[in-house]
Amino acid sequence: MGKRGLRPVKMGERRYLYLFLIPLIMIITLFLLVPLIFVLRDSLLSQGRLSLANYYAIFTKRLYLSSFKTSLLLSLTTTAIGTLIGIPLSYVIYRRGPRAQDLLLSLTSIPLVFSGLVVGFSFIVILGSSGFITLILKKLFNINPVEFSAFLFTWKGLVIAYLYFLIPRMILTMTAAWASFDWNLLDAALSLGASYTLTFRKVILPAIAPSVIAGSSLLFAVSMGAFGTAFALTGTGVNIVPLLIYTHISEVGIELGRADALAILLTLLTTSIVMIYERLFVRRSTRV
Amino acid sequence: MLKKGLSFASLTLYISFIFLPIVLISIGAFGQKWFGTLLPEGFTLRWYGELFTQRMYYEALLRSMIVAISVIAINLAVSIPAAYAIVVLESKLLRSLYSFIILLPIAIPPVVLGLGFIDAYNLPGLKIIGYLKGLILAQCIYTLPFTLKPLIANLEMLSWKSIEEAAYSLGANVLYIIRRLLIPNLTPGVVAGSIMTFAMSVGEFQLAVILTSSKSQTYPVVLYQAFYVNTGFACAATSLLVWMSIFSLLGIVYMSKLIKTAPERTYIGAGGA
Amino acid sequence: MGYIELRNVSKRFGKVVALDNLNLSVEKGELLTLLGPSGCGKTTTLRLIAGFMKPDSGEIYIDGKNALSMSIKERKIGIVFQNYALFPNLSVFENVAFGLRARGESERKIRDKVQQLLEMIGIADKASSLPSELSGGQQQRVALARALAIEPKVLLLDEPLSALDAKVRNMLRFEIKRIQRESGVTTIYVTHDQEEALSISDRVAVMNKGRIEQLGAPAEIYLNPSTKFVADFVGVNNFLEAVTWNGETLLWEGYQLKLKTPVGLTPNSKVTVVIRPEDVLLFKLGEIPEEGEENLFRGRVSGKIFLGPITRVAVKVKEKVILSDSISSEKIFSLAEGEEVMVKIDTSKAKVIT
Repeated sequence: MGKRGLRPVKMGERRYLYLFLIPLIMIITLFLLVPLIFVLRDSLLSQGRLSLANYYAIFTKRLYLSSFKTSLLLSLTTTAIGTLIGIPLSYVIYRRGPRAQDLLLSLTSIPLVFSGLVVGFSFIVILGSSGFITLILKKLFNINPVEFSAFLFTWKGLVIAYLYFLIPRMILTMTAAWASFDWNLLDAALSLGASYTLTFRKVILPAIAPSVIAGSSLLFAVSMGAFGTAFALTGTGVNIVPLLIYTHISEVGIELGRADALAILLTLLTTSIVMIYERLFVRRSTRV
Repeated sequence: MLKKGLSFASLTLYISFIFLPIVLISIGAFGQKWFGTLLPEGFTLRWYGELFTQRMYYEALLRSMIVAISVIAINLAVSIPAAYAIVVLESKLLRSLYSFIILLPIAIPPVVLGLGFIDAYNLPGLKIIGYLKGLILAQCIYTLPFTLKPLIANLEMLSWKSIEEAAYSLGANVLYIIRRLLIPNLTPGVVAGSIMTFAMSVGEFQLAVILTSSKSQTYPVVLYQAFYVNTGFACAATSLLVWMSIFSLLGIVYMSKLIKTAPERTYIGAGGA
Repeated sequence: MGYIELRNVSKRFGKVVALDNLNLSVEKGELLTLLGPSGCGKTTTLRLIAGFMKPDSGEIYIDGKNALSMSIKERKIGIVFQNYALFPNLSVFENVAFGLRARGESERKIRDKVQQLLEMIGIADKASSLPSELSGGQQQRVALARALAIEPKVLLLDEPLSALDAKVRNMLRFEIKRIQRESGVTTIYVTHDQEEALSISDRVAVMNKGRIEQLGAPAEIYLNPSTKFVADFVGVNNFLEAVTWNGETLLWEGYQLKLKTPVGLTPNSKVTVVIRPEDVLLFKLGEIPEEGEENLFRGRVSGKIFLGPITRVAVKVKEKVILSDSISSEKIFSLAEGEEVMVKIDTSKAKVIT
């Protein structure tokens, strides 16, 4: 074998194509990684010195603890309700056949293109003290509109508003699961004499469980990070983590380091939950 | 029968839930007075008139357009070569980079990104924080998946790798391939990605409220202030965003058919927050 | 030296060895098929010749020149891809004309050449259609015409018919052969379909694990497979694992198997006897074969499949199943499952592989 032929060339012969990624990597580095690194750095600085004081404050001060509590409560509630409503709806949509399904899924994407502000304002128009539904309820049950609509500006109101853009996400995740489910298995199980409950437990559940978990993780992560809707509805009236970070940014005199520490903790949470979603859903569906 | 009725009822309810805001805001925008009544009273075009004559609003709208167009331009410049390399190189590493980018808007909440911009780039000489420049750059990151994904779907639908190999073997050079094959065939992906990015950028509030100052407010930021003016005006101002989003969606649904991809798959990652 | 010559060519993808010191020589004007299962290295060989990849080591010559120092364009190779890779935005005419335009030919030459090719492949009436408006078979023809338009030195076809249904596939197979003959272009054809390979080729190279197991004319490959892999790949075969007793006799499942041509092996070495089902004769009990009772074994029918003109019967001899093909007849139809029969192995047709 001639020496000339001994070139250790691996898979990609056109390695120079990696250069095409430079602009992408540059903007990601400069405008994502660098900012994140600064957030991390500043979260570890207190009065100019390296310390864990910011994190200590978050785990001891009531303001911060309660913001996490409210955020978690809000996210868990929206996730649970969104999942429970989303699954049957996704099934109903799936069973409508391909053409109706196409249309329904396009309609389902509408809430996803809306700005959080639009969603927030919509719910003032729907459930506010002179909102559409509020007034209908007043006529029907003679409720006090002001008392009724007060809940809209608490975390419970946010649950309703968040569901507007969360249920569609569950539906989109689940219709993909129904579509890839091998329905012959169901017929096979039933024809072999398995009961409906056994079939559900042994055939359907194992097949769709990953998608259900993926969908709920997505819902949870979106809820944790959402901001626009809450801001439009409550200003900074509800103490959730993203709003608290914003307050720290906008109000002068509060230590920004605390906001940085909050941001780091929030990002760790959302990123790790999104990873679950990615593992269970995106990888499957992008490798057709 | 019961099952059918139940499924029909739940779908009707769901669709009403989706459409109720759109319908109410659209009606409200034309109502003279809307307070304490189920639906607004009277018909007027006054609110739209005010929207387009008040300097604060139309200037903000203009800024939003400038931001959106700049974001689209930068993202396309970055994403076209990247999408090309990701599809042609078929490397596992690049695939994971891609799936990371797709989930960026959820994994890194925009409020964190905004904070990061302030921490990293709030230097007086740079003129980034409080200027459109900063918002544009931050939105580029936030909207990256919406530009990148349609391009990749487009190239994959074409089986671009073998198209290109066929062209090379027939003796074409790079420029000829770009002119006769890449540009015409990648247009749907470019258009779909641009519309998606536009829709996301125009309605984006979180980064805008953090990174702009009173002189560089974009439309969503002034819209927020309109909520406190009066219902009719707020509805008119909001409806503008609603219709921009819906028309973008129509465009995306149409373009997605051309590149044989489900548009919802991309949107799942963002919006509504 | 052959028109296309590969010398000691190796290629790895990470830890996977795609080609292992491959040597191949293709004569000018012939149609050579690379036949093998997926992952055997046949497509890699094609891509190396085309210039889409470089070998880790070894040399490639085309028409006496070192191909590794030539660009893809200079190699002047026409390729037909598995998925056709037609340009979706260009008409049939422009697809075929693509290579000529890219090479800067005159408008007149382009028109004449494309017209001639479209007529040859029989879709001149579709010249202005887009690829998406054509059937799979028509797309395949356009891909072929496009590759031939540049008057290539070499034509490479990568599983060109695998996406088509059986009827169109059989028709196009002969079409490709005809067009190749007419144009006289040296052609390498890649497929995993043995029937396709045997029917179309001047020579067939059976590949396995990055090496060529056997290279020869289709009849030779079919009748004289040199390895068990080749025998298995080119057709349904019986494989009898036996040991040598002496030069003329083997022991199989305790039976003696007499050979027509002795093998020069030491006693007690392991061998495989390959015999096609059509060379295993089937007899009812009590029938005395004219050919004598040598290599006649008793077994039970364990199944039969009617294949039209012939019927394939599976006979269990001890615990091993032997397949036997007979001309379909009342006698064969009347065989019942479990019925005792005799099979005779015609060792003159058998091949002993060590």
